[in-house]
Formats: sequence, structure tokens, C-alpha cells
Amino acid sequence: MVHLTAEEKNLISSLWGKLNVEETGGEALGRVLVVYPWTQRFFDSFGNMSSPSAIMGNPRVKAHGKKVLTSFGEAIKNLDNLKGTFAKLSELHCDKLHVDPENFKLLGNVLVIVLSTHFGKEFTPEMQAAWQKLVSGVANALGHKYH
Amino acid sequence: MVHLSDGEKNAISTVWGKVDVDAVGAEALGRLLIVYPWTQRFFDSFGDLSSASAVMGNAKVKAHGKKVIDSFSNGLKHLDNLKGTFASLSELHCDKLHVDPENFRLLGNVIVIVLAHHLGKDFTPEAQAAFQKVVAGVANALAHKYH
Repeated sequence: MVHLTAEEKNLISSLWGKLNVEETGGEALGRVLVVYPWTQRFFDSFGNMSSPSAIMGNPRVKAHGKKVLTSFGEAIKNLDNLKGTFAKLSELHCDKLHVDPENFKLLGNVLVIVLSTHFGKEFTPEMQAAWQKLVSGVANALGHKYH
Repeated sequence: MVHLSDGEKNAISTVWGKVDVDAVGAEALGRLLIVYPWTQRFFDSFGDLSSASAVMGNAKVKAHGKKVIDSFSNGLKHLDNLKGTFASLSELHCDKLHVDPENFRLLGNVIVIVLAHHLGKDFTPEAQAAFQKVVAGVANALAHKYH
């Protein structure tokens, strides 16, 4: 369970309310594929990922990024039960997708970086701390059903 | 040794040329102390670290942040020999300061977040990829003399 103070929960929700899920999700996933190129192996069917601009402009990357971040939205509504919320996705990523759970931490960190680029003054140290806790909690929940 | 393409080396110089390096150092150290509060234990003599604003406004944090980032800047000039460049500092952090090397990775990630914060869209995916490689290289170099 992620232990967030009431203040941290408010900070998280306030930023969530302001962000464009499609754009932010697409950018975060795109940046993961650029910064950690081995992650491209999970997305063989996505077409052209031959350069950073190809990746960032790839419509399938954007669509999948949106899907991933939408799922994150569920986390925000269920901060007291991340493991339950992500149980099925955890099994999927282990049993069918064979994704090393370390990659969840990488994506979480990239999401924090993307938020940092988008939100200037609002991305205060306290905001960063709250989101860092959240992305760790989500990464742990996604790793929880691994065997 | 960090392997950077010419494009990545350019991205690094461009980014570093655009930011107030001292401010980046101060902010990165401050944010580290807030986001990962256990790191405050290494800075007992720094005075008031009791709140996010106390940390970010603390003169000793700013001064030490500048010292750390100056050392990092030096690393940027010696990307072909990070282990040699950071050998003495590695021994210091192990033998005298007793800092867990995981903290170097945390600081590196916070530096990336601060650069993203300062530069917004200008912190391109390529720049992020380049810096992520550099901070990993510096963290490894700082851990290299640990025993």
C-alpha cells in the first residue's frame, strides 16, 4: 500500500486533472522507447521506431501510451489498493507479455520526467515527491503477481 | 566509459549551455533531500531541513549542490574516463562518508528531472537519453572504488 498523506493525494489529483492523458501517455511511452531502446522489443508490431522522431510520431506508440496512462488513472482512484487494482495487469505482464518488472520503474521515472517538462512552477519538490511515491507503488503492484 | 553518439554529445552541450548550472545543482540536491528524505541523514550539519521550503532555501544545501554539480560538469568533460575522474571521490564516499551507492542513482535521476523542469519541451527525448546515460555512467564511476 502506498502511504500518501492527504496533502500528497491532493497534489496528485490536482495535477491529474490538468494533464492530457493521450498526449502525456504517448510522450512517456515514446521517451521510454528512445531512452531505453531495449524496450522496443516488446512492441515489434508497432512499425517504424527507427529514430526518436519516428518513435515520438508513431501513432501506435501514442495510442498505447494513452492506454497505459489511462490505466494509471485507475491507480489514482484506488490509492489504497494498488495491488488489487493491478492484479490482472500484473498477471498479464508476467504470463503473456514477459516484461521484466524493472521496466515498470523505468516507465514510472520517465512519467515523472514528462510531468516535469510540462508543469513548470506546479511541479514543486512536494509534487515530485508525491508522484515518485505513486509511480513506485504502481511499479510494485504491477510486479506483485510475478512468479 | 559512456558511449555517446555525436548527436547525444551535441545534445548534452546544448542542454548544459542553456541552464544555470549552479541553480540546477542546488535544486537537484534540495529535491533529493525532499523526495528521498532518508538522504538528509548525510547532512546533519546543514541546519534546518524541516520542510520542503526550508530545504530549498537552505544556504548550505545550495552551496553543496553547487559543489556536486561542479564535479558533475567536470565529468562531462571526461566522458571517456569517468572511473578515473571520480576515483578519489568514490573512495571518499565509501571510506569516509559511508554513502550507499544507490543514492548516486537517485541523485542522477533527480538531475534529469530538474533539467526537464528547467527546459520543458527543449528537453528532447534525445537529450533525455543522453543525460540518462551520463548519470548512469557517473553513478557507476562513483561506486567503482567501493569495497
